Amino acid sequence: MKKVLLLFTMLTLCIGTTFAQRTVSGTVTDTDGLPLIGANVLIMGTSIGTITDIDGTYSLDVPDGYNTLVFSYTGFSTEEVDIAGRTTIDLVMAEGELLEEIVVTAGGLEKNKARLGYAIQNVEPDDVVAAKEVNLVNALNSKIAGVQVVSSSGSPGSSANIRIRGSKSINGTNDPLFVVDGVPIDNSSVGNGVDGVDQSNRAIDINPNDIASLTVLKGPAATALYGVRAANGAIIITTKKGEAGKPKISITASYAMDQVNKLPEMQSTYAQGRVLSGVPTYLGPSTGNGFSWGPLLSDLEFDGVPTEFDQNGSLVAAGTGNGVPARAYDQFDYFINGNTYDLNASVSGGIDATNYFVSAGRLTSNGIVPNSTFSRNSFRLNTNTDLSDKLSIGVSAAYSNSGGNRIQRGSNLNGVMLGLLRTTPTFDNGNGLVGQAAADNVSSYVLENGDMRSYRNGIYDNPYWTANRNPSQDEVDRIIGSIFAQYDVMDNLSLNYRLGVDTYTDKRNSAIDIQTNAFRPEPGFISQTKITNKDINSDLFLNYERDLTDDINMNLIVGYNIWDHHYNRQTTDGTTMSIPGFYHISNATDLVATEVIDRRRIHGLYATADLSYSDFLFLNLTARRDQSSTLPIDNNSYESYSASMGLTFTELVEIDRNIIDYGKLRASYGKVGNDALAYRTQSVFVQSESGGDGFITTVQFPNFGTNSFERSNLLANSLLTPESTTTFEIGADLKFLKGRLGLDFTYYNSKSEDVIIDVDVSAVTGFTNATLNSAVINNEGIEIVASATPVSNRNFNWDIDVNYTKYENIVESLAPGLEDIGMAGFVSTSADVVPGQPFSVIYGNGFQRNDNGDMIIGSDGWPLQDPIKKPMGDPNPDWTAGVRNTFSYKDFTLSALLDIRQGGEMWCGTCGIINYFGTSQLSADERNDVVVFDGVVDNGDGTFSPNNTPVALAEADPTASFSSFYRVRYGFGGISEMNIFDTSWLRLRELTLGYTLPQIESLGFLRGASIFLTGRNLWLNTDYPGIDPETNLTGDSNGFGLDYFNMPNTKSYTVTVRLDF
Amino acid sequence: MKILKYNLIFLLCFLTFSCSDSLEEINIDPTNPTDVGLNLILPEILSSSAFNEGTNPNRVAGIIMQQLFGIDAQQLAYNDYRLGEDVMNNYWRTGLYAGVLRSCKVAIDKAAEDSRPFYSGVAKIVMANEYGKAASFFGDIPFSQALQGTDVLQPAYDSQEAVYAGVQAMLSEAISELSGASEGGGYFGGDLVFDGDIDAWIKAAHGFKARYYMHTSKRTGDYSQAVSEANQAMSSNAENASFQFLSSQTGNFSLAKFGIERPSTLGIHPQFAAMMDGDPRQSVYMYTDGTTWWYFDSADGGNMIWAQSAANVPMISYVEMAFIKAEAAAASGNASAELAEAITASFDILGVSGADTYIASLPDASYNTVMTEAYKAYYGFNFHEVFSNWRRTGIPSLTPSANGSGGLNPSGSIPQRYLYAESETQTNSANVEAARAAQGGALLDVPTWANQ
Repeated sequence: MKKVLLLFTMLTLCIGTTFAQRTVSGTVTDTDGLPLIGANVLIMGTSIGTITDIDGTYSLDVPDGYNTLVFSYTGFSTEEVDIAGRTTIDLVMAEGELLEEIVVTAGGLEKNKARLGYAIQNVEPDDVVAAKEVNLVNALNSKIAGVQVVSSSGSPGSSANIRIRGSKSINGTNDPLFVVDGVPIDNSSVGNGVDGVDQSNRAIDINPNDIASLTVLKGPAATALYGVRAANGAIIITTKKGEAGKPKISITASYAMDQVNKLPEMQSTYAQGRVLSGVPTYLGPSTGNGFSWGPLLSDLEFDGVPTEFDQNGSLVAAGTGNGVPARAYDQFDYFINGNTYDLNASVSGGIDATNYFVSAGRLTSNGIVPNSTFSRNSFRLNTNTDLSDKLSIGVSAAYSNSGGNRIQRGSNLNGVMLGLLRTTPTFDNGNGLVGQAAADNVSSYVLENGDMRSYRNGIYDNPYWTANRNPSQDEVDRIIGSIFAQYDVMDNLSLNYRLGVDTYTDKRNSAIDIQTNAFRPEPGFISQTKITNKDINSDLFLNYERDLTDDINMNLIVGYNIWDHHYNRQTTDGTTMSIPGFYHISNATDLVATEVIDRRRIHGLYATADLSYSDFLFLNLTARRDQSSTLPIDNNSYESYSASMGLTFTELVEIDRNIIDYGKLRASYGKVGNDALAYRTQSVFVQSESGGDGFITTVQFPNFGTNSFERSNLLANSLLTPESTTTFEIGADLKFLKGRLGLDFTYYNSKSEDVIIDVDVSAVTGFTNATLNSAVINNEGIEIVASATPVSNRNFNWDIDVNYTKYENIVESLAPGLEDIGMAGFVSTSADVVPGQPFSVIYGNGFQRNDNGDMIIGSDGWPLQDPIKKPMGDPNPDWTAGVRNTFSYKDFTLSALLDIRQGGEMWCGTCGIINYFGTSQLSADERNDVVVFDGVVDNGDGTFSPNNTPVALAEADPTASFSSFYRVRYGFGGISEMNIFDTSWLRLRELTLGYTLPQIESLGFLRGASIFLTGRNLWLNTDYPGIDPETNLTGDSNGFGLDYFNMPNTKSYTVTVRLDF
Repeated sequence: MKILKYNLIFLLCFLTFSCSDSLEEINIDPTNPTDVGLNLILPEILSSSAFNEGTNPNRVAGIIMQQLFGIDAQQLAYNDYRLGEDVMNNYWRTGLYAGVLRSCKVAIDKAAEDSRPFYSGVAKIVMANEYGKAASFFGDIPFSQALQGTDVLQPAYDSQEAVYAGVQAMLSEAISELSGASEGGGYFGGDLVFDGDIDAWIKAAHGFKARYYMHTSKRTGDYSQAVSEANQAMSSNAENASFQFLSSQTGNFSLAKFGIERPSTLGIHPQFAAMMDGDPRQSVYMYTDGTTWWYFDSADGGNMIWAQSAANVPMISYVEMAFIKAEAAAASGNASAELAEAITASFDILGVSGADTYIASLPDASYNTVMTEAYKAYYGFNFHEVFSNWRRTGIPSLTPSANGSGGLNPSGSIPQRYLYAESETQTNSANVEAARAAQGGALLDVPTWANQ
């Protein structure tokens, strides 16, 4: 890192020298002689260029050895002009095709976006890299209309959830299909439950620095060619290729510092303890008391006799100790500054008929929680060779090795946030040390007798103990590769074959160490998991192109695809460790081994035809027939098809260009079939367990000297039929003011029918779930992408890009009689789907209300709990928007991405618990309040009168018993309704300042250099009381809106240096 | 075209690999069998039934009966009867209907096909007991339409009275099937309780009949059936239908599992601790750290008989038979011999000496004393019978929690039942609504039919 900076500095100093060059200037006008403002003038083969000013004039220093200028302007044909020794070049530019944006569509085919009849959006690879996100999915956040990204947390390597146009599936994945160089890859994640650690989603294995283009396909018209697997949209990634010429070397190095970005407000006024006989009483760590409903800190002082729990001594009543007042410790000094080093190098070029791109990347990340790490090493080779005039072959191959040490979180006595936020203000987890120093010093978390040192004497893990004694490591080795061959049978007919392989192994080892505290003896637990995943794709297709008439062009593709998927997870769980601190499976006394296999195969036959008439009418037709192994053998094929049309009306009729430069209308209709999850056609027996408690683990067989099997609780279905989603989409793409103002609008309406779900059935049937064709899910939304260039002149340019998303994703019906399907969460509060409600609601318990919606209050003045649970909150936002402002001044660029989210609720289970334990600021603020709840009292005759009975929320009533406190009386963490909050936010997602060194190519070996300063997530404005609401307890699962001791999110500051040789 | 297509597939298969499996073969889960023998089904039936003795419905019964006491977390709320419809959800789903009852149904059907009456008889005995306990917890429950899979996706609820009648009929069926069985009834393994001993199972069946006749005794006013069945049941603790759990974390008793995995959240009610002061059984029921009485001794150590991993848990016991006889005797006259026998059995099952001295210290053998002694004797392995006895007799006298009133329990009195599981509201709403309506709303404070 230091060396790179030194080199960079030296180069900067060299720039003062004058290089041999000449100045070329001139004026650019349109055919009417009007000046074109902001036209691009670029020296071909370099990134050196300028733009025309308000008079259409430009001036550019052209180094020796360069002889061609490239003029481009939106809506006009790009022209390459040979300088031929001139110093003045005036150019009249002709209007041409306005949008030259090349997109990659299904099948890996490059097309001009202007010729498509459906919505598709490119993300600039620079924007992906500049986001400085470890996880590619996070880097897409706020950049694409219709795309929603929710990260699970700020833990290194944690997963992120991506949805294109909402959710359609209840049991299956709602992830879009990720396609890298034509090969669909796996983006699953395994193990993101309500407890455990934050696991990665596997798109994290892709190095963002290798990406040359990234296109998002949204609706079925765009994705029908991929069939079922792209039912949720597709992210099409093309990686970088070499170009003929000398080797080009590029080195990028960055360093990021991460900090925790938002934490709940904690109280620092009251001590550990609880109310006994009406008196707040101090109960210290040795008592195992968990509450912080004790006396005021100001009523306590130290006795001066150091203990292992506090070096300052024990707390005693003021006036009876050594006079040193009790103090509140800052629990959040646990968090450290995280950091991420990312170094990438690539070489590309071409020799004769072969081009190549080779890259290597190493990323090392240390999280804000001590000892949390993630690293990724990645290597790529892309090469292409023309073996003859007719035959070319290519290889795209990437190897990655990733993994780290992950820290326990969530609903888990071992979780960091659970222990940290419950810790009473009067206990110092670090025992005089903070952060990494405390984590590295055993005296902060272990007592002399070997017991854990913690505020409840072992009941919840001291977070420093968690960081050291509950390791969870993973290592993934992955190869994604494809070979490709193209044989040109004729000029306009080619035969293509692509074989893609995506295979990885994921090895995980985790342990919960032995613990000996009397309050919580832990016998120890060790788990060893090996996951192997293999996806094979084989594609053979013919590509035929022909001009049918002068005006009509046709492009036809017919192909055949086989997808074979084989997933295998082998887990050995071992209980009761023998040796403390030895985290190998051999150290467990009792072992339970399990294996999960998922196999499926699809054969697909597909065809697509693109027809264009003149330059204004475009028609695209696709059809695909799939045969899937997961459906009953007699009914295992289904069709997907789509038709889309684009009409560039500005080419068809004469419209004043002062009003509109370019306008295209789009319409499409598509239907995508979908299959089932594997193994849903035949009921089976599974190895037995005895359970049915929810608080405790199960008894597992083999045991008691025998094996045992029980009938699976999933009722299989041999009569399944394919499900389908139909989508209708219209849109318009408009450009005004010579392209300086652009608007792209899309409306879509999609309906999923016969959705195959493992529905919940009444357990009384003897099954808990049945696989049925049921559910109708409707999804309707609008997406707007707008761009504007308010200022554009020679030195200064200001661009605004806005994307806006609004959709409604409603579950119209589930199976007959079925009112609810739980997807994730807890017994008390969960993320469910409910008929008539948005996809995923927060389901839980609330207060009783009358028909007016008034809360019903009991005669004692307390609100009455409703015995029946209901949907309590909607985690779906009303709308979201991303607004990017980019300012360029000479060689400087400043870019800010604002992320706006309106509405959407989240259950702050964390809040409920810290209010209950009395560690939150709210619990301190409320402690002396007497309130009259706003509600009505049931008169018993069908009428209601206003409630006017005052109640003390907590200690204001000395006669009240502890369990009558508002935050305690409704049970552990309160009832769901008390903890559901709006998550609307405004955040500065990215702020980037970039500087590109100008015209240094004459140094010979150095082609270019730039430096970027990036801030990520620097500012967040939200009323949500917990941590950053952009986290999700269950990672990238289908259920969201739950916050229960999630790991917090982070903000980061990054410096990046890029050198091109 | 067809030939071309198959050639194409062949080519692609050659280029890829492992195409030898057909699509149909691919969709067969290699990790799970499609059929297994009864000898592999029965072990789980027995372990699950025994496991249920220490799971949530029984711990909650212990809490509201003021034997156990919530110290922390959800258990604190249970002290005050905050028992929402989520509390019994896991028990209802995977502990009961899609748990042990499901497996019993599978075994009964398979035993009929395979002509192995031993398994049918044992499965019916376990099934009847699980239904009987559930009816006592919830009142009306699905019975006649239950466990039918897709045939009845939304099963109706039967009245508690009908379920108790069905339980008795099922036990009679089991007794007759087992009595009539020849050559061990086709037993070929898997009986972790009696290892195929048909006579022992017949005695257990009579024991369960006695238990459920007691449940309905307030309505029938009749002890004779219960006593008659108890006399045909086990005659000593050696004949108890007990399940031996193990010390391992994968094979230990639920009550101990809770102590290990939810540490320090559950203790002993101070009143029960005081009641047991001086009783030789106190040291095997509870221990104190000086300030709090705990039901589980840390690190699975100490003397606890029931709250230990390797507990030997009776599903039906001679202790209960002896107390049934004592209660019947006390209801009509002198019960001193029967009470002495019952208390002796209680000390015996716990391995505690000093029964005679203890019996001598009792003031009388009145009905009240018998029920109070049953309350003490049933601790730990028979919480559901403590709950059932108290609801029938009101003995011992218990004071409700001061904070016990709320939306779920308007009167604030000690609960008489549990709310139906939320999964029923979600998947079987019309039927559960009808059941609530038929039982006066079925909130916590509404007595079930048997205790009205």
